[in-house]
Amino acid sequence: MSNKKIVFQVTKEYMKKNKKRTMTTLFGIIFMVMLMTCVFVGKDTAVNYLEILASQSQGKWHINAYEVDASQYEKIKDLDAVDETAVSVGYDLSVFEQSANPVRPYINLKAYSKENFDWMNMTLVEGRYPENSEEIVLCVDAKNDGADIKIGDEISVDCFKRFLSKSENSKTNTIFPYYNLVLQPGDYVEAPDNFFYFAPEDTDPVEEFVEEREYTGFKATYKVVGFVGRPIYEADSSAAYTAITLQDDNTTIDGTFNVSIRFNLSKLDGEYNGIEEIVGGYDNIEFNGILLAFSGNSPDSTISGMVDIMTVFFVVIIIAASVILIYNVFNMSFEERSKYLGMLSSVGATGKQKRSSVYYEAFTLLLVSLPVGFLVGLGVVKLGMTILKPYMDTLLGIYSNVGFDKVPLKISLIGVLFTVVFSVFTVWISAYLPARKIGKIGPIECIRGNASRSKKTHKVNKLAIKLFKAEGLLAANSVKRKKKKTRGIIGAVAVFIMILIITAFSSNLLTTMISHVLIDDANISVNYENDFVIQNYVGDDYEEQMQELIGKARNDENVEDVVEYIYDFNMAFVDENIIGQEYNQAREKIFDAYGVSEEDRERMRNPHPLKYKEVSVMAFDDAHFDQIAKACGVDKTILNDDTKTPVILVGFAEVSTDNMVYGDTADYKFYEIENAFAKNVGDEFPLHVYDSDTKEYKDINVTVAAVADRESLEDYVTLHSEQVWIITKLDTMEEMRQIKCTDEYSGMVFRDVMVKFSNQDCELYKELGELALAVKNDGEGILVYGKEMLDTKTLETALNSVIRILLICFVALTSIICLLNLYNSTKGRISTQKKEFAVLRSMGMTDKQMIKMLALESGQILIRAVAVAVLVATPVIIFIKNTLMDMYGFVKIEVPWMIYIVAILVATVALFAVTFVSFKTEKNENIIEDIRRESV
Amino acid sequence: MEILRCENLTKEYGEGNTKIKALDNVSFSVEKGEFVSIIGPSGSGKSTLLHILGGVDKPTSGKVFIEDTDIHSLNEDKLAIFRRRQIGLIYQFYNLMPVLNVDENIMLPHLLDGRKMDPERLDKIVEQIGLTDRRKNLPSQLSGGQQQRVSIGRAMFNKPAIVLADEPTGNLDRKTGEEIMKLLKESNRKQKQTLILITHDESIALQADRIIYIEDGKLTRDERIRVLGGKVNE
Repeated sequence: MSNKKIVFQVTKEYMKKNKKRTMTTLFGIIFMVMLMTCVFVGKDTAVNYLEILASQSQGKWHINAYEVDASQYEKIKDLDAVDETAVSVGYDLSVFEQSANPVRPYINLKAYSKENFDWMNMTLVEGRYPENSEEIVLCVDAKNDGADIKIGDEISVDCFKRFLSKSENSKTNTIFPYYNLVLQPGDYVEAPDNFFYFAPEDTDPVEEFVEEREYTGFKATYKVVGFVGRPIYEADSSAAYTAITLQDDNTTIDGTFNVSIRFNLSKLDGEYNGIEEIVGGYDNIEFNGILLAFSGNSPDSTISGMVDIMTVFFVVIIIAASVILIYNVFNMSFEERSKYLGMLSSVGATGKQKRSSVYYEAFTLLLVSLPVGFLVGLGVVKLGMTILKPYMDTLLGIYSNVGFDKVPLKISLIGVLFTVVFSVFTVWISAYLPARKIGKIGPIECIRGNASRSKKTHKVNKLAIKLFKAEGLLAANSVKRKKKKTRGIIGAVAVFIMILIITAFSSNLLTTMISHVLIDDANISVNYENDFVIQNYVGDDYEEQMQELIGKARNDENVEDVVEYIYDFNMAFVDENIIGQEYNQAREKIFDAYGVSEEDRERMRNPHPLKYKEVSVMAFDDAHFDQIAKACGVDKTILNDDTKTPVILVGFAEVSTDNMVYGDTADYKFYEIENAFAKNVGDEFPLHVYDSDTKEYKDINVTVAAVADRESLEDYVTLHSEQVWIITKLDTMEEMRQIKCTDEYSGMVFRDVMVKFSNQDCELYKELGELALAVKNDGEGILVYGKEMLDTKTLETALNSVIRILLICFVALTSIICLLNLYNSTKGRISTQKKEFAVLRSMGMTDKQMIKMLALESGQILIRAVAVAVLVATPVIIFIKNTLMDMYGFVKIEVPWMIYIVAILVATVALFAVTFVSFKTEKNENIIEDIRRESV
Repeated sequence: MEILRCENLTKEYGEGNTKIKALDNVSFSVEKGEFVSIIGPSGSGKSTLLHILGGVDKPTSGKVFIEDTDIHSLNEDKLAIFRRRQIGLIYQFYNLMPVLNVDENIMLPHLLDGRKMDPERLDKIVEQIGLTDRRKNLPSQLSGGQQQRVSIGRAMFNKPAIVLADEPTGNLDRKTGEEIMKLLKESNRKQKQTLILITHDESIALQADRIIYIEDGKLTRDERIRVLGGKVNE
């Protein structure tokens, strides 16, 4: 047997002997592999799922170009990045004679080029797809509904468009809420897609409208060659079944058609502009945006960038936590290992052979852990994705209309390779230091176990005795004088705290940044609770109706609150020096991002001839202005002074490459500004309002009553805008409007009125409900919106939820590694103290004293661990913050005190619990036995 | 004056066929200031007897009275308090606390009793055991003999009713062993410290006032070789 084999044999025996330790290491490595699998396979699976969802809902196409003619089509095909194209033409409806369903008597005829059958997610149920323009496939629902049709039958079509005609004599509107359609007397409108069947001859006696057909002149006969599943765009309530023929020759198309495009994504660079130029503007282009985003090729790389950042972040944390666990286990077994390796060393084992013992143990365990961890990881990914599925569905705006219940695992070669490589790397790095250390120690030192004896003397720890008596002395000295043994447990607690702090902080930072990135430019919302929002432009045709509604609302006892506010972008101007330096600096950074030359900057900084800067103004009715002002810490003397015009300066603003565009391209940058104005409470300054009649500026002197920060304002108003804003009262706003809105310039100052009801069973509620329904259907009249129509935060909320859930899962799983580490270190420490406990007990130490000693010991370990954790975590979170800020700009992130406190509390509970449980277990094993065993 | 009395001490380990009787109906008493050696071959039950006398192990049956207190009738906490005040234990392998220096180890039973530091007593003990120049050292920085001296100092510090020593010289060379015995005898003679010592070495046992022989858990002989005060018994 070779020398190395002997080393391995002995190591194997010791692994068997120390089952508990071996199992801890094994579980640690399994967890690490599992987490690596979660990161790499989980990422692939999630992205793949999102791509599938995106393609399931919208198809596999990347871009759709509408109303394209033949010459434009040729130009599109010539673009370098365009990989494939597909054409579709709509031929409208035709009577379906064979239908057995009285409410579905039509077919909706379309022609697809071959590729589109795949790109539009058609599923062939029976037969085959058409192979020429005389063949057709039908929606299988027709057959299922009992239509007298089978493969081989013929269908003749005479195509028409459906129109709905409402009698002029009718006295009521007809509302179709599902189709967003309102028929007014005299209306003649094309029936929307999927409109339900309404017999042409049956004029509705009450609603007084009829359906009319306009024949397009397109006639043809098709042979049925197959049946397809119902396409996603066809509603089961539609009057028509979908029928699709093959568009095999594009030259036969009269007029315009639609072109679906798939790109060679590696070549995609600015091609969107090429297509936009060809088809004459972005209005004729539809992007399959999220499919492109998750492929990493969207014009907006934010989501894929975030995914990459999170991957790196997860891997680094997993490696750190695992290395500390595995390293700790090897280090804790150092003395024992050094004894048997010393023995082997004395018979000729070299340093290399001793090192190989550590590696042998580590990689043997890894060999078992890799398949187990990988399989468990797949299970966790599957489970996790099932939990995340509703959020991911929401992310793409898909609810229950996609028959896609399961999340398929995506196991790519590269994902598996990364899992294996990073797992091997983690185990190697964990074993490297203990192996190096053991390789260096000579045989005598190993056998004696005194490789690291110090000659340092120690004074009596009088302070510990004075404060905590014998228990304090023992605890203090135990932590202080057993540094190496304590280091492991301090490390375990510190890592636990660090991971909680870093992950929670990063989660907060990432979600905050995503919120900013996802929010559209100049997103303004007033956050008062309401049942209805009524809108108009001040002084427009609906002004009278608006005033009437406001009056009714204010006087209705069923109304709890009426909030009236008016806002206008760039309503007025202020002197240049009113704007804060922080705002100007942020704009300079945007210039940097766009690479604006110094010469151009000078021109762009302030193009106004008088060097005025624009301000946007929001005005509230007096009661709500006062309420907001109070929340922002208003100076009441200013508020109550009739001689002054109080304003609230909105101190914050958001500048980004999206809302300040100074060139063609720039990497995304975002800067949150905290001091947008250079003015404080009590300062006065003039607002300059331009009068188009006199071509002069008229001044309104205002006094700063409060400066609002984001936190104090957020309950009332949310402002995501690059503009600088002031908030004032309605009469001040009206004064400005009177100056600004002249005969030459009418102005479009927008007014919102929010109405909150205390009792919904009242006339006004019904009236507003009817008005809201009308708006929903035709957009005419005074704008009234119901509460449910204004919920626009779904995407942001869903993505934030996904990230938060991912991070919570990650923290939970990583915490298991950390807890395992903590348990192992604490248990190991208590085990090594077993004999000392026995001696102390024999000398008369009571259980109470023993527990006090352990508590004091744990307390000291905790203090040291917290110090280490805070010292390490703080620069790490600063680094993470700075890295993200470099990439994305600046957002204000508070020092995460609460996270620190929670992390420390969790670690405290874990440490004390593990310590006392370990002690109790040791105690149950009758520690007196130790002394007895030695003495008998 | 009787300081210790044990009555019909029996200690059994295991059950059924594997049952072993480590002590079998042992009874004797010890006078205050007496130096008693308990001698017997390996596995005879002498260490078990010492641990039961010291209150660190419980007998299967029988009683131990120290200064008229039935120590095994005390609850765990009271017994612990009794141990730290009335009993000093010296082990073959010293069993010092590795994280405490010499001074701290010696004071430990005193501090465990919640009492304040007693520097004068500490100085005196350290001087007696001859470790004045090693007071700040940890046990790992001391020789075996020095560690045993610390152990003796620790056992003596609280002026216990009885000191129980389990093979105190068993792990030491002859010369160091003699020094340790000298130290123990001095404390017995000068401070009238009651001392019960376990050994398998007859020459060490003979230094006591009285020798108790134990074999297979039974007390086989109880011989007084000196009257109290050091005079050899006829």
